[in-house]
Amino acid sequence: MQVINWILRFVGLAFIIAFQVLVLNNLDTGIYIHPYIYPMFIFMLPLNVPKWIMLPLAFLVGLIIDMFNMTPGMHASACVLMAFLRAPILKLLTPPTGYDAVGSPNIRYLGATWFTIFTAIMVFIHHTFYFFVEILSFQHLGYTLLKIVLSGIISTFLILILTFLFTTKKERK
Amino acid sequence: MRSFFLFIIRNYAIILFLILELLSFWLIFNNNAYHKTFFLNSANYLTGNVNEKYSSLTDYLNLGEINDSLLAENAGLRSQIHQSRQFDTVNVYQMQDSTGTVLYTYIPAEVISNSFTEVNNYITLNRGTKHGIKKDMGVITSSGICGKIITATENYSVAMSVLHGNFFTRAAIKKTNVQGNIRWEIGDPTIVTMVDVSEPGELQPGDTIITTANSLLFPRGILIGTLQEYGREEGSNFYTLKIKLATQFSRLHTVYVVNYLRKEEQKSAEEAAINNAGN
Repeated sequence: MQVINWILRFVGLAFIIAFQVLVLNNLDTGIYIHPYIYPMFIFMLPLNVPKWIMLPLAFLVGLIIDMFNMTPGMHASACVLMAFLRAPILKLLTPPTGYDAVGSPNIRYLGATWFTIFTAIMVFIHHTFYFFVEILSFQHLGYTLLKIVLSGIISTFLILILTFLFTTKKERK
Repeated sequence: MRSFFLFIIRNYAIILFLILELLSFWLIFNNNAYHKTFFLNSANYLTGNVNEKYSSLTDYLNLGEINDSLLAENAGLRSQIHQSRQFDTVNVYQMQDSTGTVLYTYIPAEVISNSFTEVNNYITLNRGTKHGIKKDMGVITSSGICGKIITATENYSVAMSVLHGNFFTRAAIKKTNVQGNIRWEIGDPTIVTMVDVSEPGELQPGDTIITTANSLLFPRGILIGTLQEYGREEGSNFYTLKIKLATQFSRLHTVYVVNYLRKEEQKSAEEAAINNAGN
């Protein structure tokens, strides 16, 4: 069961990367809107994944995106930071019932509100770090901040849509 | 010693996090200037194929437009064929039937991946060293300048777009031949700035800006764009010109890589001159 779950996750990852690289990266949405949805793979990993798997995995996923975007190391660094901060954020957002029955952060057990907040926080950690690393200065602060906010909102929205699409009605609460 | 190991084991997550971040930043700082060769080469093998397949898929959607631009270009080339030649003979009368020495050759290539809304933009081409492309060659389109090759593998090459923080070339106002430097500032992918222009004289919006002969990237007279507005900062001697690019980076498809056959000669002559002047 565990194995099937992991195989499904990696198939999902392949589709997410393909969607990111072939569709989202090619959209002509101007200089402010650059949505990145691939972080969803990392922050939706099962809760019991140890950090020594999670961090290198985040690094690798980031690096694959970097290869397509010609931004060596930038996505990787943002991904690693996000993966590292996932545990504290989860702790902060602990629902009253705890995480006992929950395998991974998902809508099914934790509800749409919880999942939206969690997704938004993770996306904004990733985007804020990534866009500042990309520009590597505080020179164009207004541009960068607007880019973070607009891209972050679109990314969060896209991830929520995708999660809803791939959750069956029965599973939804 | 024991407590040291215990410390490492207890805090392995933070240490691993720091190691991976250091690795990322090492990659960022080592690759992000002009020298992206290692990363891009390895990336090219992996992503070149995917990009090319995707590009061949979208090609069909643009066929009409491409045909039009190719027709226009053919017509243009017919009338311009002498621009890439230089007459070596001193005797002016012989010019009539001399064919001149070829200074520039052009390698046609297709754009298989192109960005124009990032902070630093790159163009991937489906031609590489096998077809004669080398680092530091210029890239042009039928409508204007486009970029500069920064790395080439056997079958692919990657060019730094004009829309890149490190791109830089000399340019001149066609009317007066006053020169300056072309740079791109983050933001609008249709505008570049021409800086360090002194005494431009009377200018009008719409004036043509072209490449100069002392650029090692492009032949003389390749269109860069048209003047949009210009001005001077308080207390500065130099004017800054805003130029509307002739090349539409959102519609790149076919490009030409410029091979300047006397580049090494010109370069070494210029270097020798600098060395000699120093002595």
